[in-house]
Amino acid sequence: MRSRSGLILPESLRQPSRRSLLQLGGLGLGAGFLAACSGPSVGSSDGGGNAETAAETDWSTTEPAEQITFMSLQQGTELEQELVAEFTAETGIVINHISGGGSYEELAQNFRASAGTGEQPDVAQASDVFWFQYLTSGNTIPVDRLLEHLEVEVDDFQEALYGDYEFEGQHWAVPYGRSTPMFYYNKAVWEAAGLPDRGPDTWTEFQEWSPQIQSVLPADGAAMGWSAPGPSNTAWTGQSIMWAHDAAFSHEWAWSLDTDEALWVGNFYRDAFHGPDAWSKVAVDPAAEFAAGLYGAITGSTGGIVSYREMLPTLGVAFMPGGTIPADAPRVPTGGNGLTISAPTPEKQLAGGMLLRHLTTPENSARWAVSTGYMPTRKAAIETETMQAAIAEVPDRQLPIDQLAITKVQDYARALLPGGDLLISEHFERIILSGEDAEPVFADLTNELQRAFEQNVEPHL
Amino acid sequence: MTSSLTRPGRATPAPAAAAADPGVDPRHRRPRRLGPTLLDGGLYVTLLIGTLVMAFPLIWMVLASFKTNAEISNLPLHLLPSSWDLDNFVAVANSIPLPRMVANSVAITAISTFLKVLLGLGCAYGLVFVEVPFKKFAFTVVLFTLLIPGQITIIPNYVLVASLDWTNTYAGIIVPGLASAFGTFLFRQQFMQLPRSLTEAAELDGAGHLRRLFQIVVPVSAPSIAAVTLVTIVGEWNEYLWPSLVAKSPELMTLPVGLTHLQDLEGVQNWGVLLAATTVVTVPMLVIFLFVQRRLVAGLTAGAVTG
Repeated sequence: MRSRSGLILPESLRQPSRRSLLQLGGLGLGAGFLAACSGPSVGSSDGGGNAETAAETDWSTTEPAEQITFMSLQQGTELEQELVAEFTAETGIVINHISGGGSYEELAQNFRASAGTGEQPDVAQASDVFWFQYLTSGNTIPVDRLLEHLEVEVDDFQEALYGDYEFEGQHWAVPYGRSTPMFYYNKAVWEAAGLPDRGPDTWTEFQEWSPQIQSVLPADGAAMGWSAPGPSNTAWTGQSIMWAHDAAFSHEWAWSLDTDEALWVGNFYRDAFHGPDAWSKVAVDPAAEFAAGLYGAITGSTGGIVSYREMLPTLGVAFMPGGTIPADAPRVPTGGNGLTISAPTPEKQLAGGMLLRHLTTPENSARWAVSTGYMPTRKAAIETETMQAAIAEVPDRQLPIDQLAITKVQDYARALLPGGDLLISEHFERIILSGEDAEPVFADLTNELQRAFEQNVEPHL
Repeated sequence: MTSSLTRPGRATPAPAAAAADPGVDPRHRRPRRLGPTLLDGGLYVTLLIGTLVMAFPLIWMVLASFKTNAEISNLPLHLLPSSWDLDNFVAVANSIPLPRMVANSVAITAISTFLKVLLGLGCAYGLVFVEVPFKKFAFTVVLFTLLIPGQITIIPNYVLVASLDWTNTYAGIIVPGLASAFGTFLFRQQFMQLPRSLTEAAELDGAGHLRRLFQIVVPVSAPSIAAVTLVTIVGEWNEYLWPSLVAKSPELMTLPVGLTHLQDLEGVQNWGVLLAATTVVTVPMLVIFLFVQRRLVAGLTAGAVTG
């Protein structure tokens, strides 16, 4: 069909819906709020990815498409390109491998821009705080039936990782580049301070250790260096400290920042950075400054187990510290990205499912984990020769795998609420940088979260 | 009307002949006042500090591009690298298709700049030398577009580019940014300074608009053209957001977009490699700037003083 100007327009632009225009509008508002400004109810079919069609498709009579598009972060590592090439050699399905940008925010921005004009990729990476936005805008399909048809052993996925993508009884992605925060410390500093060679059991224990740690550090150092406040730093690791003290940002869509426990954590943060007994500093580049000997410890993602050690041979790795809850109770979030299917036709959806299956086989999961520093997303991957050899070389690689036993699905306020990650981080900045009391800050944050929920989530539920 | 501008507090220099006049007793020569000397000294010190503040990050970037990650974060910091090896530059070349990205950046910058300058010249010529109705209104509209943040036009531009099937094409990257309000404005101000007699004489000789533009107006407007060209080159070379949205495959990526592929989201940021890549992106522009900075200043101030 031609427009009045004679241009041949794609289907989505011939009669642009309010949704597609608003999707594009989101692009201009920054990736943090690229969420579904308007969109169909969960799983409805007027988006690019056709959830209802996927639910009704008879996969046994469907032939996979000959070519699909795969949008990944930075267009993938060398290994990812290798895995894609192997898939094409094995199945004959050509993958148009395209870049989603250099960060999770850019990836979401590029996805939304493409989806807004009906050109979304068939398979896309989605970070822990963006996959739900793809869902609410009708751009992804639930993968359960498709994976079942492809005989993918979903029970072999690490429960905590696969469970992150569950909503209303269906899974909307599979885990791919996944991580958890870890506690990293400098063994040389610990030794000089006369501390046992282990991570602290609780945050209050670390607070008690901090004077000894700071006594052996430079004057401008601190017991703990924290990532400069910002999305995916403060909110991600802050979640762990919240959970460890029996608090949370939210319970599903109910905000829980007004509890005594949550307020205690907020003020714990404040006192860590301000006052006579402060033991924390904001780091611009935590890893580099930690390696340079400015801090006794930092928290960081699993990838640091190998890469931090290259800079700091005396690296110690431990579980995230606990708090007031039992030591074996879940208290650590997972993060990173998963793979979603946003293809508009059953043929492309099937080909996309086949790509997901290939990228997440136990062997490929192990190769991916060893190459990138992410965690093996499959239980069987841990037993592969590839993974075992890597663990034998760096035994600390086993720690994040063991820590999975105390991980849990993230709070909706951070992971599902569009822009929630950013809102939490911005409000924590007031505590960390300005030393404000937690109560008024968390009251403001609760109001902001509620407003975001009413605007960006409630219409779709 | 001409204006003779002299710096306050400084006498107009006497002619050289008078200064060398043997009849003037050196003891009666007017003593040089201390104020201006101190002022000059203060200005030079301020300029020196300003230059250092602006230059130091660039110097650090270039020097750090030869350092290892451990060296960069080592305390106390050392300005010079321990060895001048090119490992980081090799790593950049191995990590991203550098030659292709350089070629893309050069091609897109050259084509965009050429077309932007050409369109700017044409628009400005029309606004000054061609009698058309609503000329002033048209110029006001052009000026108003300068007030609109570029981010606002991204959405309609992306819709248009997608509808033309231009995503992931050179046309998609180049075409939406071709209308240059800045160039049109600067050229128009420059052309307003030109005496009408120049173009009228050419018109009497039978020269058409194109000939008048390229044989009469353009040669006498060289400083302004150089300025607009340079500003456009820098803008196009450093453009990030639009190419990152439109160019999805590495074959089309420009250098600033390619740099993001060197980021490490899981683990340690390899600053040595990143700074080496940034040096590759930045140094060409710095070199161009150094060579044409005088032209740039002359061009940007052309038409600023009206008689």
